[in-house]
Amino acid sequence: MVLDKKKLMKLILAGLIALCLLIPTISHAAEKNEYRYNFNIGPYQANSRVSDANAHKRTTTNIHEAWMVNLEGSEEGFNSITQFWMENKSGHNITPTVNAYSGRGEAYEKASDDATGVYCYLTAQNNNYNNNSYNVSGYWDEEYPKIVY
Amino acid sequence: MTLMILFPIADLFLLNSQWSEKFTPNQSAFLVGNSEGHMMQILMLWFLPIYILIMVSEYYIQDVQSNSQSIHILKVGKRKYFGRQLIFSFIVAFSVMLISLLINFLLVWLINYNGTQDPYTAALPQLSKIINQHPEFMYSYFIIANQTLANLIFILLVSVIVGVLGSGLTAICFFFPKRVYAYFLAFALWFLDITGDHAVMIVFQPFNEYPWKLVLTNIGLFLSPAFILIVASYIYKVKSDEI
Repeated sequence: MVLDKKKLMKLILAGLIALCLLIPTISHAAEKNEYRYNFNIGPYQANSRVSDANAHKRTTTNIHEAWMVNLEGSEEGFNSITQFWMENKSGHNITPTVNAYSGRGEAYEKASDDATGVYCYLTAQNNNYNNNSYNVSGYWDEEYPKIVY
Repeated sequence: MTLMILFPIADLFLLNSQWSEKFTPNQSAFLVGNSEGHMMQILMLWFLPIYILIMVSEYYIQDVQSNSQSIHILKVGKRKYFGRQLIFSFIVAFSVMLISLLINFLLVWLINYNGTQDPYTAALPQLSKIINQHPEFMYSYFIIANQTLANLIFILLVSVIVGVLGSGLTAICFFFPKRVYAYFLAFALWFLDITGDHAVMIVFQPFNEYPWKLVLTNIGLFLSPAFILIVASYIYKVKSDEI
């Protein structure tokens, strides 16, 4: 069997089209990570965020792929809430906010469109607007294998 | 007064510019405080005594400065003069706060009617993990389940608290009819009130994570000293011989 140029070209084109159809469905499977964080939540918040070294790049294009935060301990007291979200380097909020109860396990939330391929910084504030200051700690993951809507 | 009405409105626009996804109307209200940094809540509620003192509570200081208080007292009598000052400052502070919060609540429903973000409802599964062992947190569950009702109740409650604060500030002005002392004392007392676990700020927030006992305790801890102050100042002023 002889493959002439036209047939070869057709095969290559068909292969390319098939590949193009396949690529969007091949997604980057996120791993479970547990990055530690340790914040002091002050009365003038919105600046309690992880350092540059602890920022992580979010590679998925799917905004419904979750990010996760677990508030293990909070000095604010039993059943207290701390609000978490992710920022990019310049401080723009790239996810909705999450209310995490201390010691109640992991909380998941989706991201927004501008969170793709961006270094994410976990940021936290007290949900109350009294002038308390306290420490929180736990772990987080900028890309978690879970779909949330 | 204009400032007090403008702060909640500014809060709504700040809230929408900070988060790419809009909050639901009930979550966007001023008292809920979902904005990043709580800027407007701090500017308005932490510095509340200044606005109220300028707006209504320092009338007595002005009267003393212009020496017209003796004329007023001679005209209507001591009881009426001081009683009216206290009641008038309650009514003004109460209604300005109520109007400002209601305007904010109305705007929230008009502008964010299609909002979707609701972090408190999203965290309900986390909260429900402890409800069996700690039934006192059913209160938090209830207010998150009935958000509009909770918002309206807290708007009314906060307005009453601010009204009492207005009377309390007038009482401070009765004791110290000099701006330096009155403003300093008002501020010191108010900062005591917004600090710590028994802060009155916890009461201001409709969707809080605290049991209802703590909320009631905090209301009591604010109201009882305020009432003592108001009654004491009234008695002191009526009994003491000023003219």
